[in-house]
Amino acid sequence: MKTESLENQMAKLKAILAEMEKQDKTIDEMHELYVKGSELSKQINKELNSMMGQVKLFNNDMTEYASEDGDNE
Amino acid sequence: MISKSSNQPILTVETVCGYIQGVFNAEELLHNVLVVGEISGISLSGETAYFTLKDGGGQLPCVCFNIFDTYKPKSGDKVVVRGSAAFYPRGGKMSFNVYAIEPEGLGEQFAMLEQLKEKLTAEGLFDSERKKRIPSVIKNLCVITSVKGAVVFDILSTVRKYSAIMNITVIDARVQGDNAVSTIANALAEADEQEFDVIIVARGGGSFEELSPFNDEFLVRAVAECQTPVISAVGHETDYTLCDFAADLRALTPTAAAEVVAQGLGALENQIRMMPERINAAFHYAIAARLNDVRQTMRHIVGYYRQAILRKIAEADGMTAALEAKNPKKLMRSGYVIAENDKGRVTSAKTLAIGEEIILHFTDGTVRAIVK
Repeated sequence: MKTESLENQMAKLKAILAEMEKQDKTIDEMHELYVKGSELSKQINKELNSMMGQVKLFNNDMTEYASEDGDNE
Repeated sequence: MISKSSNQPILTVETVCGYIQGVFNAEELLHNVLVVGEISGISLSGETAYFTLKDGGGQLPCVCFNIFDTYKPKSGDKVVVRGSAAFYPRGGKMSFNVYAIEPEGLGEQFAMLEQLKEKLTAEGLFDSERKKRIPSVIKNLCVITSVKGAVVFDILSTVRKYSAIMNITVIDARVQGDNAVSTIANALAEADEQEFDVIIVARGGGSFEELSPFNDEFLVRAVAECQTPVISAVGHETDYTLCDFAADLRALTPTAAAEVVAQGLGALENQIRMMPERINAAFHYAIAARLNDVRQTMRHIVGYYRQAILRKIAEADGMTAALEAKNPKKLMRSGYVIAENDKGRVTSAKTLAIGEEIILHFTDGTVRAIVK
C-alpha cells in the first residue's frame, strides 16, 4: 500500500512539474505549485528513506541468521 | 618236591608275564572285537572309566580311556563294546581296553533310523520345496516343550531380550519317554489350528534314546504336515533327528531358535523406539533446508526491492532538482526578473508589442513598465 501511495505522490509531483512548464501560470500560481511540489518531494524522500532503512534492517538480520547457523553464504 | 628234567629251564615271572603279554598281543581274536555284556561297578577318573563287563558265564575287567567320546553307560546297562584284550605284566592282570560303547541294539536302531530317513526322503518329506518361509517378523509364537525343563526358560528369556511385545504361548509336552510322541503330535495339531506365526518344537540335549521320539515316523510326519511354519530346536548342535529334516527350519539349539524368531520383531521395536528421534531429526533437517530456501528467496526479493527503491530515489532526486530549477523566488533572488503581461509569463521578446504594459516581478516587489 505504501508503494502505491508513493507512486501516487510521485505522479502528483510529476503533474506539478508539468503544470509549472505551462506559460500561462502567474508568478503566484508558480510559487504555489512550487510549495506544493516541495512538500510532496519531502514526503517522497521521507518514504524512500524509510524503505531503504527497512532493507538495511533486513540485510542485518540475514547476516545475523547466517552467522548463528554457520551459514557463510 | 618239584621234579624237573635236567634240561628244563627255570623261568622268571617277568619272562612268563612277557610271554603271556606276547600271546595277548599276537592273538588276533583278542583285538578289535565286539563284546556284549552288562556294565557293572563303573567308576570315573578324569576321562577314564573303569567297569566290569559281565554275563552269566564270566566277566571282563574293562577300561575306557575316552569315555566322553562315546556312549556313557551306567551300571546295569546292557552294552556292546569294541576293544582289545591286553595283559599287564607289572600287575599280572589282564584288562579289556574299550574304544567305543553303545547300548545293545543301537546298531539295529541306527539302521532302522537310516531306513526310515531314506523312505521319508524318497517320499519328498524333507524336500526344500516343501519348506515354509519363516516370517521375518513374528508376533505370535508357540513353543512346544516341557514346562518343567530349562529349555522353556531359555527360550522365553532369549525372546524377551529382543522383544517385549511378542505373544508367546507355551504348550506343555513330554519330550522323552513313552508318551512323548503323542503329546508333541497333539500339541502340534492344537497349535496348527490357531493363528501362530511360528511353532518351535524344543527340548534340550540328550542321549540317542532320549531323543528317539523326535525320530518317530508319526511325529516326523506331523511336523512335515503342519501348516504353520515349524522350527525344530532339539538337542545340541551335534544332535540330529528326523524332525530336524521335516521342520521348515532347524535351529542349532533352543536358544538359537528363540533368537531367530525374536530378532525381526525386536528390530522393528527398536525402530519404533527410535522413531521420534528420527522424525525430529528429519523434521529439523527439512525445516533448516526450507529456511535456507526462504532466506535465499528473501535475499533475492529484497535485492530487487532495493534496486526499485534506488531507481525511485534517482527519479525523485531528478524531480526535486527540476522543481528547484523552476522555483520563481529562487530565480528572482539570483537577480532574474520575471515579466508578465495580460496573457501570462513573457518568455519571448517577440511576443511583446511596443507600448504594451508589462509587470516585472522582483524578489522584493513588482513594477509596471512600458515596452519601447
